[in-house]
Amino acid sequence: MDKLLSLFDTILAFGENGNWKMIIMWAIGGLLIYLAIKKQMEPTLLLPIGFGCIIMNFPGLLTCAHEIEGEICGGAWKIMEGCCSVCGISGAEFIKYSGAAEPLHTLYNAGIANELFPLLLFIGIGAMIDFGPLLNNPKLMIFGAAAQFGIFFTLCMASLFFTDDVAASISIIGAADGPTSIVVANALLGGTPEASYIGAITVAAYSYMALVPIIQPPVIKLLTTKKERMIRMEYTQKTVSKTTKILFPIIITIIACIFAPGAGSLIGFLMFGNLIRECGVLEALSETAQKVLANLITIFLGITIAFNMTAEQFLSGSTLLILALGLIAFIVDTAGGVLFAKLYNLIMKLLHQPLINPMIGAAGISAFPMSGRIVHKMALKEDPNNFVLMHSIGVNVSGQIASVIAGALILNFFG
Amino acid sequence: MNFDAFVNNLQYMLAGMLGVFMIVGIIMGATYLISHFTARLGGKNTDE
Repeated sequence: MDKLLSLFDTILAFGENGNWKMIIMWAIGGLLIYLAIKKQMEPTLLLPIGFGCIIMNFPGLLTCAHEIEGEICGGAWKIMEGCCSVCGISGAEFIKYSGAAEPLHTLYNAGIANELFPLLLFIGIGAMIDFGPLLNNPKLMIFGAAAQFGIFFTLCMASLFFTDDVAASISIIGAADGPTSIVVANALLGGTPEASYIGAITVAAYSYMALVPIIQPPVIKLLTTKKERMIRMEYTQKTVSKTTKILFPIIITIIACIFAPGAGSLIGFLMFGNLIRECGVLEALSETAQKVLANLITIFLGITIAFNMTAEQFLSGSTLLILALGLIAFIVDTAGGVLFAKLYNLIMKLLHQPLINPMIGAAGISAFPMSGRIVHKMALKEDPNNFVLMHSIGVNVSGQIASVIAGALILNFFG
Repeated sequence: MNFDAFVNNLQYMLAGMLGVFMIVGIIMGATYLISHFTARLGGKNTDE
C-alpha cells in the first residue's frame, strides 16, 4: 500500500512540475497514430507525425541545454521526478532548452526549413496525376479556381486574431494540399518567433484532408437540391494527343513563372513529375517518382513536421483557433465551388446550354483524388446511373493547379 | 479582435480571387490552343 501511495505521489509530482503538457502531447501523438491505423485517415502522414510528436515531447531522449551562469547544464532527464537531474527544470522547459532532438533538427533544416521535402514530394504527385480528363474538357478549370475562395475568406477571418503573416499561413490550409501549406507557412513564418504555428498549420492541413469525406458531403447537400444532384453530364471522350500531354506541363510552368512567380518552384516540380510520366521514355523514373520517391519523402516529411509539435509550442488557445479556421477554410472552399457551379448553371439556363452537376464544383478544393471520388459517389447515391467521375476528377486536378497558384499569390502579397 | 486587419485584407481577397481566375483563364486558353494546334498537326501520337 505504501508503495502504491508513493507511486501516486510520484505521478502527482510529475504532473505538478508542469509535465502534464507533455502527457497531453503524448495523448495527441497517440490519437494521430490511432486515427492513422484504426481509421486509416492519411496514415502515411498522420502516423509519422504522431510518432514524431511523442518523440519531441520525451525529454528522456535529450540532454538539458539550459544555460546556467554561461554554462550548459548537460543534465539528464529523471523520469520519476519529472525534471532535469542537475538544474531541476520541468519537462516542457527541458525540451525548450534542449534545442530539440538532434536528428529531427538536422532533418528539419535539411528538408523543411528550405522547403526541399514538399517540393520533392510534388515530383511524385505530378507523376501520379493524369491530366487527361482536364485536357479533354479545359473549361472545368474555372471550377478549380472558384473553390479557392475559402483560402482568401479565411485570410480575412484569421486576420481578426493573428498578424497578417500568420493569417496568410493559416489561410493556405484551405489549399487542401499538404506540400503547398508547408511551403507557404515556412516561407512566411520560418525563422520568426511565430514559427511555432507551423506545426499546428501542417497538422490541420493533413487532418482535414483526411476528413474530406466527412466535411464535404453535408456542405454539398446543404447547398444543392436532390434534383441538382441528379443532373447527368455527357462525357465525350476526345482524343488527347501525346504531344498535348507533353506540352501541357511545360507551358503551364512557363505561364505560372510569368504570372505568379512564387508558384514557379511548386508548379515547376509538380509539372516536372508530370512530364516524366507523360514523355513515354522515362517509365522507370516515373515509377520511381510515384512510388519510391514519394514514399521516402513522405516518411521524412511526416516525422520532421513533428519538430514543431513540442508542448510549449503546440498547446495553446491559438492551436485550437488554427484548427477551427482550417475547418472554415475547407467548408468555404467547398461552398465556393458548389455556388460557382450553380451560378454557371444559371447562366447556361439563360443561354439554353446543357447544365452541369453543381456537386463537381466541390471537387475543385484539390485534395486529389479523394474529393473527386466523393462527388462521384454522391452522384451515384442519388442516381445509380449517373457517372460524373471524369468531370469531378477533371475539376479535382484543376483544383490542384489552382491551389498552388493561390499559394503563390499569398506569397506574393505577404512574402 | 482586429477589425481593421479584416477590412484591410478584403482587398487581398478580391485581388487573390481575380488573380487565380486570371491565371487559370490564361492556362485554360493555352490548353485550348495546344489541343487545337496538336490536332491540326495530325494527331498521329494519340493514346486515348
